Order: sequence, then structure tokens, then C-alpha cells
Amino acid sequence: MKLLAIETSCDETAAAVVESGWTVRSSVVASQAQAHARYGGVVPELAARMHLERLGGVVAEALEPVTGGLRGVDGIAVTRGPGLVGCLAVGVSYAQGLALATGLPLVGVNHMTGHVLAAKLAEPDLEPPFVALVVSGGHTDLIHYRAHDDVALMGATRDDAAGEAFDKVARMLGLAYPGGPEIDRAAGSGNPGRYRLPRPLLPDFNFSFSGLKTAVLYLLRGLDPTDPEVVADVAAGFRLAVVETLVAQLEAAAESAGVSQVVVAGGVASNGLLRETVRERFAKVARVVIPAAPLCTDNAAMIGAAGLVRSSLRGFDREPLDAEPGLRAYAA
Amino acid sequence: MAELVLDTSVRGAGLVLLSEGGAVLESRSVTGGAGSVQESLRDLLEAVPAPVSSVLVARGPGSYLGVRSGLAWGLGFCQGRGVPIHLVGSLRVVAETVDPAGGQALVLRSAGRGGLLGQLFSASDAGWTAVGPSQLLGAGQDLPPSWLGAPGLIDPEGIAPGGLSRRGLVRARGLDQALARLATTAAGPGVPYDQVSADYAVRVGAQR
Ligand SMILES: [Zn+2]
Repeated sequence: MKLLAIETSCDETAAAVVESGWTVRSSVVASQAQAHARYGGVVPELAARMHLERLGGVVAEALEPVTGGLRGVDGIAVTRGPGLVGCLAVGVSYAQGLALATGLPLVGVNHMTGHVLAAKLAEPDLEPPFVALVVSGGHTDLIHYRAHDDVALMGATRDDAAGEAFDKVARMLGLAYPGGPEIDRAAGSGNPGRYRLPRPLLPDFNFSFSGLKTAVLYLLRGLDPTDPEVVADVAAGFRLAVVETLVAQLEAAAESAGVSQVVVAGGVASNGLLRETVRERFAKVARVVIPAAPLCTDNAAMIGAAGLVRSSLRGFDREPLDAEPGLRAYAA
Repeated sequence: MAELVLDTSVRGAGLVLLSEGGAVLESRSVTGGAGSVQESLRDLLEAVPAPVSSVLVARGPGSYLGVRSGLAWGLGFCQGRGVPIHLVGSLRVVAETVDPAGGQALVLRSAGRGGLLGQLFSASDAGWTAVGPSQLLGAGQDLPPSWLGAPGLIDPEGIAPGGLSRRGLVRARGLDQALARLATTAAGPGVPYDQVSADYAVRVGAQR
């Protein structure tokens, strides 16, 4: 089974070809980050327009290594939600047009399940059960992935997602958007112990990063935010606080679920300190799977992986799809 | 060979399949989201199994989601079949619902939140031709003087503001006839799927 996968839920226009056996034949991502950087965040209308302009070319490029192009694939997987409504509508409608033109069957998949199943592409022998920490610009979730058709949300953020907190603190520090890589860079030369920031641990594996963000705001009132040393030290202290909070909750969740495997996924999982810390903490207690950075940030290969799982469990979709911006994360 | 035409920029989307000579072979009007449009398109293509040689899509202004979905659907279909896509302004589609009896006409359409979309057209052998770009007026904004002087008014939604007297033009043909007329007179050479620019979206209306 070979699937053409399409992802347009936010600001990355992506297409990939993924084959049974968890082989990624191609993965093409046209990032819009630069176009949105001047606005300090994703502008939904601009994102939808850019998807329309780029999707055809991105799909053509993804099909290049496939003999016969579209005739060489067996089906199409597309993100149906959650995400930005205009962006999802472009991907879903495009995929439906393509499916009707070619007679290929279509399967709509959950973007968040895609993030988790990127782990299968990284390490194909990974089988449930496992606990996954999914951290991105829109989500900070802990899930118990018992089986492909049995996924339970253990905890989530009560306010800002981790990625969102990175963006907001980056702005306070005069750093560019997206904030994650910028804070990472600034923190590289910083002393994380100079400013001690809180580790917001909520019960029931939940998160709250809004208080941490406010703590940075108050801290900066007494400092000179144009001093590069201050920026580096605050960035390092903030990054450490976020990472320690995430890892502490992941440890608690894994222990509570009694699993011996943990997965870290989503855009923030490309953060070097988070990857290192998780590997270190779980070294003796659990298998750790963290996909390579290009499989953590939004991509279509993960949508292909989710499409393979969904189509094998439930078959392809017989009914026409609609974009579902409010689709519950990890819902089947 | 057949040509597929779709206008999803309005609530009641129009889908038409034309013969090579421009006759309406089959048409559907759809209310509802992308899923219903897909269902009707599937139904339409099954009803007339002729190969589709090109697709014409109304590119806006109009409903935010409708315009994007229609264009994306057209792009996907054209890429899948390797046929060209033609784009046409949505207010031009409205203009084509009346016979170009001569002179000028102003097309008005609601842009949501009390706003108006308008565009002037003049009659020619090839149907209505736009005189300048469409304009988006917010609620309470003054009308451009050229609108007030327009001899004909095409106002399918009955939204003409006080400054414009009703001059009695309504949809004389159905949407399918208008789309058929456009496909045969205004389509031009078509664009490969990967060369569609974003200019269509500049004046997408405010029905979010
Ligand atoms: Zn994502």
C-alpha cells in the first residue's frame, strides 16, 4: 500500500508518499514561516492563500520518486482536523478533487494522531502501548496510546501550549518568530541557573505555562532586555523550566500508565534540550522514541503514517469529507 | 468532451457540466459544505461520463471558505486529470445572469457585516466586460460616484442601498446558464494547475 499524503492544517504546505512497512518515499514541506514572521504569528487568511498557491507543486514534487506518479499510488490521505478552517478546507477540497479525478480512495486523518505516529516512521518496530508527550504551538498533551483504536488523553495544557509560550517569551526578549528555535539559540550561551523560574506542576498530568510566562514578564521588569547576556540567561532559565516541567509530567504519566515505552512528538520535540533530558531521565526505565526533527514539525509523512493505520483499521472513507477545525485531538 | 464549471463563492453553489458546444448537459445547485459539493460533483460526473477537458472556477470575491474550497477542488481535479483550469471573477458570473442589453450595469453583492461588493460591467459581444476591479465597501461607507451613475443594476440579493434606485434587473437566466455562457465566451486559454496566482484572493469578501 502506497499513500500520497497531504497536510495543510496550519502554516506548512506538505505532501509525502508513504508505503506499508513505514517507508517514507518522499516528504516535501514548503514552510510559510518567513511569510508569517513579520506578523509575529500565523495569519490564517495568508496561510490558506499560500497553501492554494503551493500545494500543486508540492504534491508534484512528492510524487517524483514514484514510478507512474499518481497512477503509482493506491490512495490519498489528508488532514481533516484539527487546525485552521481555511487551511484545512484547501487541503481537504484539493484532495477530494484529486481523488475524484483519479478514482483513488481517500482517507481523512487526525493531525494530532499523525504527530504521534511519526514515531512509527522513526522506529517501525514500536508497538503500543506507550505514553506520548505531544508538544507543539497549539498542543501540550500527554496521551496513553494503548492500541491504534484505543487512545486516551491523560492531561493537557490548561492555557498556553508550550510552543505558544516559547513564541510569547521570545517576543518579550526581542527575539523573532517562531520563538522555539530563537530561544534555543539564545539559550545556548546562557546560564540557566542565574534566574530561577517556577516549574508549574498541575495535578492529573495537566500543564499551565501562562504563569511561567508572567514570571518572565515580572523578571524582565527589573532587568535590561537589550543586554545580550540578560537575554541569553533568561532564555536559558525559561527553556530549562519548560523542559523540566514537561519531563516531570511525562515521568509521572508513564509511571501511572505502567508503560515501558515513551514517545515525544510535535514541533517542540525538535528542541535539543528536551530530547536530551528525556533520553537521560528514561535511560534505565523505558524505551524512548523521539522522531528526527523533520518528522516532529508539521509534515505530511506523519499524515501518511496515520493514513496507513486508519485505512487498515476502518478502510477508506466512503462519505465525502469536510474540514473539521475543531476535531478533538486523537479522535478516530 | 465536457467542460466542468463551478461557482462555490455563493451559498447556493452552482455546478455545471457543459458539452463542447456549450450546452448544459447536467447541473446541480448545492447548499452545504465541501462534503456536499464533493457528493454533488461525484454525482454530476457519474451522470455524464464524458471526459472533462477543462474546469472553470469562480475565483471570488465571495464566501471565504467557498472560494477557497472551489479553487482547491478545481486545482486538485485539474492536476489529477492533467487538464487546464480557468478562473473567472464571481461578480462576472452574477452579471452573466442577465442579457447584456447594452450600456453598463453595476453588480452588487453582500460582503457580510453590512458591507457591499460591487463591480461595474459594460456590454460587449463577448457578454459583460468588467470596467475596473471590484470594490469592497464597509457598512455605512459612501458609494463611489460611478456606481450612482450606472444605468443598470444587477442586485440578486436585493441589497441596493438608498442611493441607488432599483432599475428592475434580476436574474434573467439561472446560474447554470450564466456559467455556461461564461465558459463559452470568457474562459481564455486556461492556466496550468501550478501557475495559479493568489490575486483572486485580494478581494475575497468578508463572509467569514
Ligand atoms: Zn502540528
